[in-house]
Amino acid sequence: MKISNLFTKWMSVGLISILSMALFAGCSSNQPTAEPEKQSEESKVEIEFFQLKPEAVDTYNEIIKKFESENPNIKVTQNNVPDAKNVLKLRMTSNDMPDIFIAYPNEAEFKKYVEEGYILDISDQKALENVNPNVLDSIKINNKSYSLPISLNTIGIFYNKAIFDQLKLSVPKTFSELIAAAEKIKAAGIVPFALSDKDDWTAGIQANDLIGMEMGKENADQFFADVIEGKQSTANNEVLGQVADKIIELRKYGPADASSLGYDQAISMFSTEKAAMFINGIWANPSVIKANPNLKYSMFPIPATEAGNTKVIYGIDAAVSISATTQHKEEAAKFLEFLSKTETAQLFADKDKSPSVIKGVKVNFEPIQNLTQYLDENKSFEWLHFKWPAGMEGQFNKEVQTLVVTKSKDDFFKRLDEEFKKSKK
Amino acid sequence: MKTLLNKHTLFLFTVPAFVLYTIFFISPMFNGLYYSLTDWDGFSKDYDFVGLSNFIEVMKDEQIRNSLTFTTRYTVLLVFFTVIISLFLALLLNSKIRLRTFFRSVYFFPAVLSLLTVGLIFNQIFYQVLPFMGKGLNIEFLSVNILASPTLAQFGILSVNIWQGVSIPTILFIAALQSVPAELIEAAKIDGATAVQRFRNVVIPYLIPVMNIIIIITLKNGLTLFDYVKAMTDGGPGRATESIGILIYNYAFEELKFSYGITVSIVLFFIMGGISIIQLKWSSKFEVK
Amino acid sequence: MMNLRSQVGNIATYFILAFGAILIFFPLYLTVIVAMKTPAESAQSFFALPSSFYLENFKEVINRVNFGTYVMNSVIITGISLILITYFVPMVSYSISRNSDKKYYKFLLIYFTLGIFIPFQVIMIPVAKMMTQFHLLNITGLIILYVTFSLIQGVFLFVGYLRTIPYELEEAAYMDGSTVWGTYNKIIFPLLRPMTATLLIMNALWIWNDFLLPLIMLNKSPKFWTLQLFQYNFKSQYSFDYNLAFASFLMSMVPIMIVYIFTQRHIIAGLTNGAVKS
Repeated sequence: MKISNLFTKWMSVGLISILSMALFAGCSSNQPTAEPEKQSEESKVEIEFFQLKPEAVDTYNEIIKKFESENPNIKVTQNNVPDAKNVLKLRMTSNDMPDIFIAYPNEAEFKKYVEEGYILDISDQKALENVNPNVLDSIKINNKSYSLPISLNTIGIFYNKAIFDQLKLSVPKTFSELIAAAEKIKAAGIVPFALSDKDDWTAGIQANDLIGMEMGKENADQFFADVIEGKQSTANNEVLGQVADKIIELRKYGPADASSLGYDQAISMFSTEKAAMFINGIWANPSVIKANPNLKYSMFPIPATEAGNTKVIYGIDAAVSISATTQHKEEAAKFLEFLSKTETAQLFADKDKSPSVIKGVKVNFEPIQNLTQYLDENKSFEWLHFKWPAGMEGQFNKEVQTLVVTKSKDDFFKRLDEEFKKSKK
Repeated sequence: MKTLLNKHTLFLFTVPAFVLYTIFFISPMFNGLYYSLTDWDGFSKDYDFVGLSNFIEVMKDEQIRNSLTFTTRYTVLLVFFTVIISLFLALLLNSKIRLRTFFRSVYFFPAVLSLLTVGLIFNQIFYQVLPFMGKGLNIEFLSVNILASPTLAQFGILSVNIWQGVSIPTILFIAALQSVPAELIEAAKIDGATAVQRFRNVVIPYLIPVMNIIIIITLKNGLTLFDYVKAMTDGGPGRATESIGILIYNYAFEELKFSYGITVSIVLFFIMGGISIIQLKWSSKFEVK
Repeated sequence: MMNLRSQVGNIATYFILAFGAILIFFPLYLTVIVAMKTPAESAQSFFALPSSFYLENFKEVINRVNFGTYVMNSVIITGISLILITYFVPMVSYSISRNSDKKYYKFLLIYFTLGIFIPFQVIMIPVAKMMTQFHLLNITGLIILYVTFSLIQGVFLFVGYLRTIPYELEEAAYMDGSTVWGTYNKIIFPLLRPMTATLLIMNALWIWNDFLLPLIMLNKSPKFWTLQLFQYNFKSQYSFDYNLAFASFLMSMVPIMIVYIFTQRHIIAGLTNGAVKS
């Protein structure tokens, strides 16, 4: 009796709470309740846009709004989730591909998507006519185009202008000048670099840039190809040793808990003026502005040992692809065409603060001028990992992260050799 | 018809469970065994048989060895502290004091929260609160986020795990303590046994079955550690807290090393099985006959 | 003398227990107060009480995300899984325990119990692949997995518990011409209630709080997210706004906290009654 009593009581309390939660949920979710009304407008085609860049969500929403007002019978749903790249891969293998999605056409993984037949050939689409032809050629696979490139990325050092003025620092031209500046900032009681080594890629891109710059892009490509074949060891490369030293040296000028800080926390440190510099990609600009719209800052390239050697690293940041299995090819193509219009691309560039590859688009954003100048003068090179096997970039980033924590160069080189050899297939 | 149905009712009772379990638990296991002999990346349409070479690679892989060492050490510490602390708390909560039910509810409370939320809250505490207190009290190792230190981060995660992980064992131990017949204790008292002797010889044998359950559950939780790491360090700093659970997840969903990840998980299965057998054999020595 | 010693012991017990209670409540205290502060207030002092009953952080969270959808998803997944578990687990366990001399049923017991020793990671990757192929990477698929995995511990616990229930009651019922289903339904199932309560509590806590399975199965669009997935995803999007983050922590905890406050005695009793007896 007592036991069954207890049981019914428990069950009823459980039920009541479930019901009340459901009620509560019904009240608080104003968006879903609005949805059924929209759906009643028939003959509307919905296409899913799977978007991999969290920084660009607001920008794309604005573009989608414009597109929908011009094309009232198409509804574009932007979908952005964390670990989005993994989700995309899972969805590919389950024939559950989104209609349109962001792609990184330079990467080895993208070539794999194409080889497995997941991506639509868009070579004859009107959208591509408005793209810088050199860029278009650089990402062709078997002479065909599989994505619409929109913007480029590059990385550099964000710096706080007020702190630099106050300490009478000028933009460093060499790596040792950079360290000297950091030393002065540290002496003034300010953290020089907002480092975020919890996110391995934020450390990895520094190494990617420094190696390419100091070794020279072609030499670096040849060198890593040899490492993959087991003909060379990273341990015997002098330049690589120097780069490892530099990466470790930078850590002297970061926050004490850098290895537990993530990318967002670093942005927060830099935007709230707790750190004077921040090494990351131009894609961080929208987030920095969002976190502190009044911050006075600019960017400069990561300097080389010799001032004349300084170059910037780059790649295609956002490209858009259509899935091979989409039911709405026409609508998807229409959206791509809209994205490639000079007018739309200009809007994107203004919001995203990134150099565009669409004809006739100029980005007017002071902080990146210094970097785009290097791009315009061809003092630039592509990301090293574009030539590496799929999955290797992640491993490389992880090893650089381990290096900055353990500071053991020997282990670093040993692990790099192993991982590069393993990546060969 | 009706009698026929009646005769087979007991068999029919087992059908849904058997079908579900076979399709969604056992068959993936054999699938896994199969894939561990291939080089499938989980993505491409074709793949090759590679025999046992994945297993040989796993044995040679230093990264996996590191991760196994970390996970095993973590699990041993977790089991040890969970059993000691929860037994200690159970003894206190079982003594005849006022507010006993109140305290029991309090001590059970962490068990209803999600590991992820708890991990995220403590992540903030380690990041902001503890360094603040450490600086105030001049304790050097606390003045910087301990999750930033390759040596201390694991203890940060461990302490959170214990904070939450002792709740259920404590309650189970209390119940087991209550199952010890009072007469036995009285008899031992009359025989002149000291409190320690009474605990060792009379109470412990009654705790063994529950302790077995607790050890196996905690063992499993330790060896498959995932949520806390994801919420706090994501395997860092460097690879200092890269548990086997995190490693397998990354292999499978991030690094296109599908078959390799499965191979590691099979190794994990053998470790779990081995430890369980040893533990059951060891504890059977103490059980009530 | 003896009395004094036990009194000292009592005081020590209180002291230790109170200290432990503080350790448990401190993180929750912080969560509540930080969630109710403005960013400026928490910059001044992390520990002090908020100056007013500030609810903007919660409003902000609700404005930014479909919080209600996530609660609903969690409720649906947990609710339906539990209903199915209540049916499947006792039924199969009853068959096994009443046929323990037959080969098939003996095999079943070992077959299910084996699962206890298999860490989830062992089947995680193949299961994800399989669900992908079956087009079950959705809430239905997730519920199927929860019901399946609950069988492992459930059958083990129930078969043990059923051994403590004497056969005489059922035999009397059979003599009166009752069917197997009728007997099970009217006599056995009610007797199993303490164990069923244990099973439901254990699974409710697990399913409601689980993170790894939803991460694999439901991350493809925010409309499928559970509370835990929302929690994980929210931290990566707004991690520099601590007050907002803590507000989201508190909001994720509130549903289960309310249930706990009203049912804690039953939960604790239910958990122990069943678990120790088997």
